[in-house]
Amino acid sequence: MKKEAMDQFRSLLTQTLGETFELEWDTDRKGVVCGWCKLAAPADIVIVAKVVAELKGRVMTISPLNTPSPLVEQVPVDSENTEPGKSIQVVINYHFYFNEINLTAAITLPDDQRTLNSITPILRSADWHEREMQELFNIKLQGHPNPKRLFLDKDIYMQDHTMISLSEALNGASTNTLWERIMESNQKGANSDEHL
Amino acid sequence: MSTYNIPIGPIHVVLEEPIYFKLQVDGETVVGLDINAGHVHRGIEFLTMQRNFYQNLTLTERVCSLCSNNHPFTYCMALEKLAGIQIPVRAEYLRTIADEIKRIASHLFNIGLIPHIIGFDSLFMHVMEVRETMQDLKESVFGNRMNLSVNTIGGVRYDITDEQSKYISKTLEDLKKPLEEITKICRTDASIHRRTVGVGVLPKDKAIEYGVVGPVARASGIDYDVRVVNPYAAYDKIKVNPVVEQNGDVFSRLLVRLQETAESIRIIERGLKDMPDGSTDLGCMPDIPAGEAIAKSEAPRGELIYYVRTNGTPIPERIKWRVPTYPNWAALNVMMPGYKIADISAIIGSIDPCISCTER
Repeated sequence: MKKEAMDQFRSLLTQTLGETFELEWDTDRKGVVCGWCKLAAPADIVIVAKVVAELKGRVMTISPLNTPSPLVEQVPVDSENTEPGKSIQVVINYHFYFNEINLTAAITLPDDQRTLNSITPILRSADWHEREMQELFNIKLQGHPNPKRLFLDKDIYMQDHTMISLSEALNGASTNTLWERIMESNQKGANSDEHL
Repeated sequence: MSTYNIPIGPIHVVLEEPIYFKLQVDGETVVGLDINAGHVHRGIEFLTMQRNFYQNLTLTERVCSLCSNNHPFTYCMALEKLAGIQIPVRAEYLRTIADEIKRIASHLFNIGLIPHIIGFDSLFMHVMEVRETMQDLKESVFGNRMNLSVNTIGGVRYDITDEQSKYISKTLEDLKKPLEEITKICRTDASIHRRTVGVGVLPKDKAIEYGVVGPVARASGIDYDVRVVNPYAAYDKIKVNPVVEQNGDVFSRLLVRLQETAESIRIIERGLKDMPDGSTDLGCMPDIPAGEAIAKSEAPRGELIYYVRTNGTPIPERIKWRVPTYPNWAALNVMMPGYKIADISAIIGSIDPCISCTER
């Protein structure tokens, strides 16, 4: 059954994408099959989603990552200081499940591109995963039925490759931020002779 | 009748942890729902990328409390798969036994919670008293009531002596009768039926569409249990009988958990009997090469998946996990509309939500 599903997936994907993708299967000692698929273009993920939907599968999760990792490789995280050729790319791994098979399909977004087609209209199980990716990795989704913020407050600005500090995520709970705001508003009040 | 909005949360008496529901109601009936999360987001995925593989064992165990064992367990399996490590057979059994002990304690907590929500507090206290025997068992065998810290890369950090094996068997034997009683009460009591049967229904087609997992999926007729479909640890040697119910309501989810508790007792007894002698770990701290891998396990709330990517350094490049509660939230959009405001807390409780898991 697994062998059939593996062949079926490959043939369905080849029908639309030709031979542009790489696909490998590994089977562990307990017989669990994991597929690893590298796609040539980010737009191809929609085709994979359609194939998975046809096989009555679902999205298990989506794992985006910055590569090279700014933390491990000590790459400057400020985009203005980045040397050419050392820029950070976003690799997005989509983990699908169908017919007892786990499949990971990976796409790489070009340096300047932060937009991507949503697969939620095809596979509803991608909904929350895509919204999370949108917030935590600043990826803009096109065609998502409900692109509202899920974790972060809507007033928090987004920036590439930066992590949002906890105090900011909690929206001004830090004493420093709060104090600076008070000082700023006091300053404004003094300058314009207005009383608060 | 006019439609208006009711906020529930982020801090609310019916919620154990903070999450924010915006409910649209028409009179007493829920017609729409919007969920906003992120109130206990701690950035643990980010922290794992600043620590080495062994430090992360401790960190991942602290993502959640009730399914705390499954996090380092699955994390270790992903690293072992990546490095091609085969763990000793005795370690596989020990991992399975620890995991099933946690499952019983977790399921009993939810089995107690549902009567508590619907106001049947005497049953709640009875179940919690029974659950306390499992907490004692964990404390006696592992030294801790919640975080067992049994997993390490390449095996486990505990062993069971003959005396402990007898003690576990006796505790489980003593658990059987009260569990049967609780099951009988849940199956027959009219007040439980009134509040749970036909409430919060998730039909099978919707369950497939939303990709729900764990007891929520199995209560809606989806025969999916990671232990059976994608076996790991000793689950290829000990056969698990998946529990499937068809009605998809709060009552079915309660029944699934009750029957799974009995199944877990059977698995532990079988494991204790079949477990071979031998070492429990590799006896060294293996190096982890560059690569990527995924691993899955059946946590008490359902399928847990870990994705690990390494680059040859002792610090992982990316660790991502998806907890079982995560896909189940969106299915509340199907379970809630059409039911009364008074049913909301029972419906939320029936998916056994873990918010600190969801937000990491």
